[in-house]
Amino acid sequence: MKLELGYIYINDIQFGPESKIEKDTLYVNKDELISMLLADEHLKSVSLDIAKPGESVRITPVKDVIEPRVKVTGSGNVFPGTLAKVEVVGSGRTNVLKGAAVVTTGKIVGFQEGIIDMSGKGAEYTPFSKLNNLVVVCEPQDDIGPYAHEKAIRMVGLKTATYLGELARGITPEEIDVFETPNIKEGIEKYPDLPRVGYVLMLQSQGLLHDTYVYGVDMKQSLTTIINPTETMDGAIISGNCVSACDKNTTYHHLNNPVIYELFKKHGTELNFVCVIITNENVYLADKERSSDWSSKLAALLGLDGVIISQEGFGNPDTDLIMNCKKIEAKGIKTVIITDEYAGRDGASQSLADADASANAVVTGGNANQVIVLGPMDKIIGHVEVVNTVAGGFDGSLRPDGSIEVELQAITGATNEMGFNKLSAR
Amino acid sequence: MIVTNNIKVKDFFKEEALMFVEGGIKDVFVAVRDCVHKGHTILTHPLSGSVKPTETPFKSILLTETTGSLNLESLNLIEQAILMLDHLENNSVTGIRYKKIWENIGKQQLTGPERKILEDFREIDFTLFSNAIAAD
Repeated sequence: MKLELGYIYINDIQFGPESKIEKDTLYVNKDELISMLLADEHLKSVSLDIAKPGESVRITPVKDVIEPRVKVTGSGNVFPGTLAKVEVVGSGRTNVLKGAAVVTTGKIVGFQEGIIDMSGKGAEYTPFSKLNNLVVVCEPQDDIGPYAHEKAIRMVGLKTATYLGELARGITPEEIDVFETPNIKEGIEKYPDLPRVGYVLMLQSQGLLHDTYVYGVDMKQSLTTIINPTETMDGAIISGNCVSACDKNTTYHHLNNPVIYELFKKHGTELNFVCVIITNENVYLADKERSSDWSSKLAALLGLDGVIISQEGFGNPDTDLIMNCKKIEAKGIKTVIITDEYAGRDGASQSLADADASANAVVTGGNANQVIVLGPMDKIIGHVEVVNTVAGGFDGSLRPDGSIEVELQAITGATNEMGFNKLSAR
Repeated sequence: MIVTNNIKVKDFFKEEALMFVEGGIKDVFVAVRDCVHKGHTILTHPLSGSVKPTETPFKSILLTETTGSLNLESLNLIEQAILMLDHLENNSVTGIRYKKIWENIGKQQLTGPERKILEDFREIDFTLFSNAIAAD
């Protein structure tokens, strides 16, 4: 499967009388977009705001972040099975508004977390402080429950990203990247001497605020299966997950999966990037056994020499991660796992809820228990009142001067388990 | 058999064998460990959800109704969960704060937003558990 991504670089975002892209500025007609979004009867009100890199702005509580894209050629449309029809995506050309993002906020539950600071200390720990963000703040109707509320905000984010992406349809991109994987037979013939590498992408799948959808299918209902890596670039996988802020994969992460991008860089030279195996993280233990049995079975069936495994979330997914690792290693396939850690405030304790001797090649996304003080910001977008209960329910981590003492756990994307971030340590 | 301290789960799963635990998550974990020692096998992971066991006071876990010989995997699972809870309660800033909060919660009459937050925690535990039990 072959996909071209055409990048239209966005360096500014403003409200204006007409939604358009002019040079590197994205203009948004506020009224038109709000009117479109309010067609959803579950919503009482929608407001839009802008947050740019370097501004003294805090966005909270963050539900999802999505990158605007549009399918210019090739079958299907972005976000298949959710907004678009279920047609298979991942080929042709997709244009991307690089440097822009849609951020949804929504206090679906009282304790919800998720902070993006656009400047200061906190900005170093989230990739979204570097983007020109259109922030959508929604109020639900009074009588809808949390499930309908979550779905409404999920759809708002995807619809807004699609609306903005559409503006890029007719624009000639400044840069085009090409991503191609051959089919199994072609790959063996073309790269007979390169190690066959796959990526086991674990997806959160436990219930409200903890779900992921693939072509519109709730991943907790799915057996482990195979997907072409370019399908993820067209929004085949979208996030319904918002806990914990630090290690939930936003839809933006799914569209820009760094493991996939890095494997493509080495594809055809150092390795043969065969495919992506997607698997879930259900709470029912027999599901964990079944799913990890299947990921190891598929890895062996595909004749893989090595896999990278990334997980999503805290606690019981550690069990899935270790099961996947152990069972794949038992097939004679080398593994590297990517995870974050809950190693205590000094970073010295056991980081995961599970462990095994075969998990001996580990990349860490960082320690979510690390404490950080976020300075006060001039402007807060979202729900101001949750700031005092961020990273939990009754907490009083908000100080009188507006600064907040939190663990990295509360910052959106801070310890991402795909390895999205750039901070490292020796 | 359900072991839970969540009234929402207790009220919904009226027809099922259920042990209701008065207390916090630690009490639920200890009750589950006792059941494992009596020969029950754990069917759902004790560390369900990404909301930390220090941040939410509610937990529901499914075990087999019938008993057999001691299941070492179940024992390891619940012991690891207890270790993780202890670790977060003592080594994480949020965990330390919450330990005090949950110790006091029974003595307080909760109002307004705080009552809503507790209700939200009940709902999250309920949804994670009922999705898991649907697979049973």
